Amino acid sequence: MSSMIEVRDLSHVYNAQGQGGTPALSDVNLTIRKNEFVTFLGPSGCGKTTLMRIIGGLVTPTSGSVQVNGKPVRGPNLDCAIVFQNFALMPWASVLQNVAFGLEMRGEPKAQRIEKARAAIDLVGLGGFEEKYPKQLSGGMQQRVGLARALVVHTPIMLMDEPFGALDQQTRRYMQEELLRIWQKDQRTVIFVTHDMEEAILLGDKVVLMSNRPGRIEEVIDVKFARPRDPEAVERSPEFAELKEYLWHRLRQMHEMSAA
Amino acid sequence: MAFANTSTGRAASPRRVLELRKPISGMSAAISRIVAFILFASAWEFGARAADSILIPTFTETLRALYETTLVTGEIWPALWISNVPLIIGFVVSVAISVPLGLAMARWKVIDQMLSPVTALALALPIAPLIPVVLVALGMGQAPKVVIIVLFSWVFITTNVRAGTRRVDRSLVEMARSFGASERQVWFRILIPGAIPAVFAGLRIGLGRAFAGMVIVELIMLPVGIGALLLDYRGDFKAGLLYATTILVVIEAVVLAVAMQALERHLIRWK
Repeated sequence: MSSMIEVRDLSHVYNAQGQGGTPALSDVNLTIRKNEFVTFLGPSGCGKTTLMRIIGGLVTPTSGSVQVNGKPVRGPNLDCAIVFQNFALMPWASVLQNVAFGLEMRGEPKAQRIEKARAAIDLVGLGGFEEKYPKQLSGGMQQRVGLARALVVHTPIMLMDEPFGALDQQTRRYMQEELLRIWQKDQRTVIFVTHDMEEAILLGDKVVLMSNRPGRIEEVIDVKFARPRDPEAVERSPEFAELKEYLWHRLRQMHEMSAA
Repeated sequence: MAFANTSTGRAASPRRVLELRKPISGMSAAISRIVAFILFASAWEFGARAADSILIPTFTETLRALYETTLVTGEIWPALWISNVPLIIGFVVSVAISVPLGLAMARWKVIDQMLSPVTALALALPIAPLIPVVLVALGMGQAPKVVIIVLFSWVFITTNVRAGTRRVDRSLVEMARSFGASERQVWFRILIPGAIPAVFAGLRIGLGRAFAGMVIVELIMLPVGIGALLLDYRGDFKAGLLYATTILVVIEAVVLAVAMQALERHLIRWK
């Protein structure tokens, strides 16, 4: 199968120029295939968001290489669309304008981008809210706007940085189901950063387990539940409980190692 | 999907202020304001009568003078015009200089470091003592008034714009970049729209300061326009007209502030 993302010998140190920089990632190697749904799981400070941002071209790594779609990443990577943890919506723009933003930056003509944005808004279940401002929406609805904005540019890769972390439990659950439904319809490569074990298992084809300081990949775990996934059936299965217990065990181990 | 449509369109307002007093209706608010005004007017009327001074007009005398200067002689209008021309020019010049300066300070550290001592000094410095200096340098025409009005207002606009632009969410800039925005697009689609509320706060304060500059320069150095009128009335012991003119100046200031606020509310509907 063709690889979409190739990370080779990647290390990153924050403030590398100054003395005593902070190591964030060390010797990371990772291959992600086309249309694979990969979750990055690990304790806070393990560099999972940094790794995602390097793939997105928002951070230039200290050493090592990243190839996306066969091309090395230099600067903001337009093969990726990002869904941000804090939504990053423009408060002065309507839902429609926010969703169309990426298309506008790519120079699409107005009529076309409005049509596409409307379709994406319907896809995420926000039909009828096109003219609302972000302030008028709940957190879950705001992140649907963020999701629609990332979907509508039709990049081969979508990067999601703890996208549901700021939402309450029920809303988060709804959003996970929505994401599974949308991804099933409109498959692309997804990197999904989270610190929630259940979320990582429920969504991912692979869970990339990372440890902290400096961040490195501990293990890549295949999650073999059939697609399309029924979240409730998955969660009731013994395999789910087993996987969760295993991840919990590994995370606790890491915690004890770093505390010692 | 269904729950998106059933959930309420509006998130619960986070601004639930602790209720210390019962809220009052618009009607009773209006009535209490009228009552307050009547109390104030009658206190003035009877106070002035009791004082019986040629320099303190009664409320009714002031009203009569107000009527006279606006509608009978119309003395106030040319004076207001003369005063407002440098105010308008000065304010426009001030905005044209201060807004870009504030934006540049917010975006580039070098410029910020270069100018922040200047703004700190300008904020602390009283401008009135500079008026004679400017007059000596620039003579008696329109130019010194414009310069003084700029001196009075620029720093308030610049510092507000700088602070407001810096408060624009950094993650929005990153978001824009990740979707392929150029530097120019980051400016016009993120930084400037994000800074608009702060720009307006700056413009509102700046306009008030420019107005103060206009009145002060006319009163203490260049007796033309409103300032000249006030000085004449004082010299001729025309207390009613003196008060009436002062009131008109205050009314203009209030009208400008209200107009500014209306424009602001129109442009920042998303807040």
